[in-house]
Amino acid sequence: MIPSQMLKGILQGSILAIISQKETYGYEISQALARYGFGTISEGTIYPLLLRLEKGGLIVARFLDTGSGPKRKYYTLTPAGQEELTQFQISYREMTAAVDSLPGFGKEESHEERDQTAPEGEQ
Amino acid sequence: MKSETKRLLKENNEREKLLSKESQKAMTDIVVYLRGCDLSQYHQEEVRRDIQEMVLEAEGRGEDMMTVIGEDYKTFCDEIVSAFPPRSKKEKFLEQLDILLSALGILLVIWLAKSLVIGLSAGEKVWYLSLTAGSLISWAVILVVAEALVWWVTRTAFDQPKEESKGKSFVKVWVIAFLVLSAIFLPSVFLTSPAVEICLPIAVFLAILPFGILWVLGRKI
Repeated sequence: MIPSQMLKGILQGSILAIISQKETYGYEISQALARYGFGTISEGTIYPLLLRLEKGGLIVARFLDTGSGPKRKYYTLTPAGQEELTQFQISYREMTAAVDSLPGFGKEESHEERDQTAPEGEQ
Repeated sequence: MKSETKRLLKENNEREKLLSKESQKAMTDIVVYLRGCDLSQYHQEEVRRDIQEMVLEAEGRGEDMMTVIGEDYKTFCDEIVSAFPPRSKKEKFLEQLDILLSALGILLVIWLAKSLVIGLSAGEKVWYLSLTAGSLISWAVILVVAEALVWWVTRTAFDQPKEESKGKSFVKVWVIAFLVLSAIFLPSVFLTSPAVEICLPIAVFLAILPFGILWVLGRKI
């Protein structure tokens, strides 16, 4: 279970990543997030984020009828959204690399190596 | 109100009937809360449509509204509102003007009808209608009370009813109602000297004017 504070920062980028795969809607996004190991994230949590992305021009939405049932709001990525996703991927990799190099995060060798190569004042 | 907003409002009212009774009640609280938020009328209806469709689909899967939205509707609404850019001063002013003109139009029509009925039933030829200082004060009180009431209702939409003794809340309601009604009606009862005399055609024109301005504004709000 990912703590909610930690999740908050990465959820927006993760949603962009899911939408980049195909045109999709709120419930399907929440299901996909659960499948990828994010745990249960309700549509109520996702909706304000989708709205923020939509108003920010990163995704566009359109309503499609589902036969006799309710209308579904389907989202697709805009070029600005694609750019934002690329930026998120870069930032996320930088962040995970930094966290991974911390003691106790599985890559202590690289941390030690960095310590050895770092200038004296920084050691 | 723009025609697109009107269309969406009508559509949402119809779609809301498809929800379960519990969801309809929760939707009413959400809509009432959103009405008092810094959101344009169109965005309020846009959000309402999205939530309704979300809940309708969830009910189709056998889930209830709380499973979809979570338990804290207020935080949910606040997050939605923060997703929108704040409205400009012009937008806020136009919306307030829309509300004020609607209220003023109704008050003027009531005054016109009341004056005509009283005059004609007394067998007088009603060429001039008098507007008293008391009426003007009453109108101002009505507008302020209405605005305050809307603000209070929207801000307390999610509040749980306080556990108060029935007697205490009964007295409280009656005291507030007495004070408000006194503030509305007493000026018209005691200040009866005409502040201004208006001839009938101008009175009719004045009563129609707010609706005319609203019609023009309707293309902008």
